[in-house]
Amino acid sequence: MRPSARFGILSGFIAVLWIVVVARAFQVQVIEHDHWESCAIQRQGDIRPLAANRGEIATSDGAILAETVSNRSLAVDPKISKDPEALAQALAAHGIVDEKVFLAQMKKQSDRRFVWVDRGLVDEAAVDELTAQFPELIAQTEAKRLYRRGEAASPLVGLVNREEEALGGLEVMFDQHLRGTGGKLVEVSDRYNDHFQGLETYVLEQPEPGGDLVLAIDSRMQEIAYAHLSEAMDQQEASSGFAVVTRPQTGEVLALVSLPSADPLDPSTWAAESLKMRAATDVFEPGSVYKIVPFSAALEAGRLSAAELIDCMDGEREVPGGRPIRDDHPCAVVPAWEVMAQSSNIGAGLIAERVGAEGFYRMERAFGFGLSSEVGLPGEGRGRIPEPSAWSLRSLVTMAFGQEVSCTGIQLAMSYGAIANEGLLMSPLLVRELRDASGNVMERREPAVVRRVLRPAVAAAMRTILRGVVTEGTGSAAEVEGYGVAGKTGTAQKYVKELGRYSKESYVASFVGFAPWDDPEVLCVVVLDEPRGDIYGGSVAAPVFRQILADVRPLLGGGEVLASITAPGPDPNGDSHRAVPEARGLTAPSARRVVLESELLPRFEGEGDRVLATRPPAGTRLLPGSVVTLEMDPAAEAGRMPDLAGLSLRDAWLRVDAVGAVPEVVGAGWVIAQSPKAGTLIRPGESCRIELSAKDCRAWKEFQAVEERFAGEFASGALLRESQTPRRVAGR
Amino acid sequence: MRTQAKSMDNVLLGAVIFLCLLGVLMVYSSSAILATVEASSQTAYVQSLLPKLILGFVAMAMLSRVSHFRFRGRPALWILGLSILALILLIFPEGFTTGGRGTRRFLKLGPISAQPAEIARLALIVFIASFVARRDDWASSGWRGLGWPLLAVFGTAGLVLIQPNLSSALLIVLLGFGLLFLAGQPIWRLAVAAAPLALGAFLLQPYQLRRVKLFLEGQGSGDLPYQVEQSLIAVGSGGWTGKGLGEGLQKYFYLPFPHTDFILGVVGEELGFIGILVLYVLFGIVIYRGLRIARLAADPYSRLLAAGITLSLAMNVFLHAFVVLGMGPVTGVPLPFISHGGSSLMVNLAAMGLLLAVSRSVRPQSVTLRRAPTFTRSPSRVS
Repeated sequence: MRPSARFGILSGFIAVLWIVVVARAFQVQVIEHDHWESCAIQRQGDIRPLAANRGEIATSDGAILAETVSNRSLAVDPKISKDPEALAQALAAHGIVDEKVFLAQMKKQSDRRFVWVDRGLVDEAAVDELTAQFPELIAQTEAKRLYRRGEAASPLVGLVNREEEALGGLEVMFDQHLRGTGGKLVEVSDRYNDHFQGLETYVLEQPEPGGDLVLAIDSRMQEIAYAHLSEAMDQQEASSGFAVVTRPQTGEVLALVSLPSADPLDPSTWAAESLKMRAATDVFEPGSVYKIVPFSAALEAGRLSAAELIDCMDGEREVPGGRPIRDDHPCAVVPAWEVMAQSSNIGAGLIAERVGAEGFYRMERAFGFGLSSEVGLPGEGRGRIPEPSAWSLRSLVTMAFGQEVSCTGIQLAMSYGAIANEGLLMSPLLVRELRDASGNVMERREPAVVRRVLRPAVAAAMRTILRGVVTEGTGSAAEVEGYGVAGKTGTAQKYVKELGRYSKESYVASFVGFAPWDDPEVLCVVVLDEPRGDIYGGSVAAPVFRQILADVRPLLGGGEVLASITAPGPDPNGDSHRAVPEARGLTAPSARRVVLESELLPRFEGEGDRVLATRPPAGTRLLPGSVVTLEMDPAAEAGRMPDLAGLSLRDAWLRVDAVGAVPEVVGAGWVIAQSPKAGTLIRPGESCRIELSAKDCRAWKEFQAVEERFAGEFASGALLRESQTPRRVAGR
Repeated sequence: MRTQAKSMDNVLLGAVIFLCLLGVLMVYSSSAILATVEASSQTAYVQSLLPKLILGFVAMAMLSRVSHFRFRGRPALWILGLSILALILLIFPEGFTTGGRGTRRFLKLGPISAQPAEIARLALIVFIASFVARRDDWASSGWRGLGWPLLAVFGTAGLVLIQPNLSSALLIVLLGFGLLFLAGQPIWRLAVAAAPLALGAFLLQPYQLRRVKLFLEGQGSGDLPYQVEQSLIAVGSGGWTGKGLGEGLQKYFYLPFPHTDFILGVVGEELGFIGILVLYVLFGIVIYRGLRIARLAADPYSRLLAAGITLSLAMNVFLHAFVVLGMGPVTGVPLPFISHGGSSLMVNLAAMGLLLAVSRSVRPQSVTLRRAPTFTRSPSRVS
């Protein structure tokens, strides 16, 4: 090989090396640049999360329930603090710290480099002034979540703690949407983080702010519901409670209140119990409010007529497999609507038996019981609706008045909503819109029909029946003057697992209703758990319902404004208290009327024609809706045929029964004729004839209207079908 | 016999000056952080470099003025002898040595400290060029002609190896064999002479073995040794145009020896791919001009001297890049003219002075298109 060739080889080799080096540099620097750049960030920098601005939660009326604002925070570097005393004084002067506490803290953490002073200062000027004066102070801008409606909305909205974790409510359910995407901040320092810190700070990833939520909630109604419910909670010393206000036609949830509730400003109250939206999470045995199920099932199946007489067995019925079933308001033979109005458990059981287990179960399911309502709140309960195969001999009868089943408040609101909404079950509509950070609507949620539960005719009949509860029954305290409330009371004994029976002390008092009864525009559920003292839904929950509805009414579009917006709630000075009226000597119907007129609830005790005494005595001042017990005089008018004119069947029956006669009943409704005549001597055991007609009474006319409106709908079982003679005739 | 051209290679000189200026900038940028911590002055390293730079330029100017033939023969032997003596002195630690990360690489005589290995390498080039050019028929003179050069190569390399400085020793061996290869020595004989090196691998120190192992294992596994990873981070994060002079972050103790062994990393980070390209274009110019001078040189001594100097420079330039770019095991090879290091800079400038001196002796440019003469041709045959 010639040396010149060797020279050429060497030159070529060097040229190749040159190309290799430049190509490799190109590969590393240009092609793999991004990879090494990210390695550099990981190796050199502290990557700190950069929180995205959390989205707003707004209501349909434009109020903001939750928003995130920038907030200045102060920290101190105790190591470089020259004069901690002066600093403590200055901070104390601005009301930021307690001087002594702060000094002690500074002493304790004197070798630390970063100690928070306050993480929630809003006073910009104070922060600027202090940082200028004391170089050891470190001011930081932090995001702070503000909850403008405080405790009124905290179980609904939820909370976000300082670590940006959602703690409940919508904050949890829509965390992904609200949170946005966090960015990254890189702070570069030297390898040993020793000599050179904060060499460079740059935003690695811009945070993407979270989206907003617009709720169907009306903030004013939320406040109203909260105010009345919390007041009642205090008065009744209930352990918890909730209220739901909806628009039945759309399923929009207008207010959703749960108590106890957390105070967003006080982290010590942020227990899970106080952040639960009980209307969604708590399942409870509904009690009498569940009676819509047997009634709806029987009406839908054509097995019941609203005016049909039901023998309610004087308030006691033996049922296999347990104690007898009792009624709080014992009835004899009453029209079906009275069963609802007087909330007869026995009557409800008898009606349930007409449709049988399958028919009953189908109606429960149709109303949405036992299924999640998908309102979109954390921990929503489904309730327990056992299948008929799992029932005992008495299940059908007890389920008819809401035992052995459980449900949530939202489910109740939706099922009553179906009755109010011509038989259509709506899906609860809590969130109307999801918006992105710049306010563009990403998703709009429209009212959605779940299914048809009832024919419109049956729904109308049910509304009429529920109207009777307020006009003539247990729910009178729920009436809003001039509004026409329909609804149902519930007083459910709580089942005590340890005892294996229903408690005699713990009750759930409830009222579910809507108004106006013939064309509902608003629906409300009020439930108070374990009220002390008074226990009845009619006296505990119904007044709250009335207060909420009276205040909400003017806020509903189209409603005439009658009542003052301020709650007519009880006044501690006693102005709103009602005096127990003088009822001694009155007949039961008139006694009931005078008691109801005083906004008190009559409760009859004992047998008899006339009132012997009231408990508490006349003149006592009670809160509206309180129960007045009317002791009846069993000795009154014995041996003579009483005057039954105008009485309800129940009252007439009781009177005839009181003299020992055996009534023979014809028709339904109110007494229009009797034989023998009033005042005639009558022997015990002798039969008498009572002729009733419902044609003059309110319910009759209303049912007639329903029947006319839905002509042909009630082919198999007209609402006003002529009643059979009660199967059982005679007294006890 | 000597064909004195009117001027020396100005392109080469320009490129060297440009590289030195770039070097000062890069030493300043890459050492500022280290200097702040060590000496609380950003410019400590640059200040210590500047007098040596001036001395280096003086040496280059002087050497480019005098004839390189002055070092031929006996002077070459003397220079080699003295640098070998200096290397021997390093063996005795007391009094003569200084620093160098647990190794003995610097000879300290009074206020002057120097790396004898750098000087020895240049001396070796001059010696081999001089020795080989002594006889026209050296290439065919068999083992007898190879004896002295091999002894010089292995002796120098051996003394460098026990400092210990494996990479410098290997570079010296590679340089020696490269020169002997260029001088026309049959390849089989060089291969036989190189055989003992294989045995030498067994004498490697554990840390040297580990580095080679790390490098070999690192290939393909994606698991890079810390130094290589940091170096690649530096270069890679620079991108096309770099972060700007002085703006690099890897020199904050992430990148080891940012001012010496990994200075190309700082260049890559701060000046980007463009910076590395410009730097290697400049090196390419120097190497190309050096090879050209060698090719055009009239006599074997000049040719071998120019080729040896160029080869020595090229080896450093590419090995440094290989280490920094993660293509070779981690060894401490400075980048000529750019890395901080007085001895290296001065010796490199002196070598450039010799190269310039050779360039002055080459024939006029007009004849460059003619076929290059062979190295074995006698200088007397050239008119």
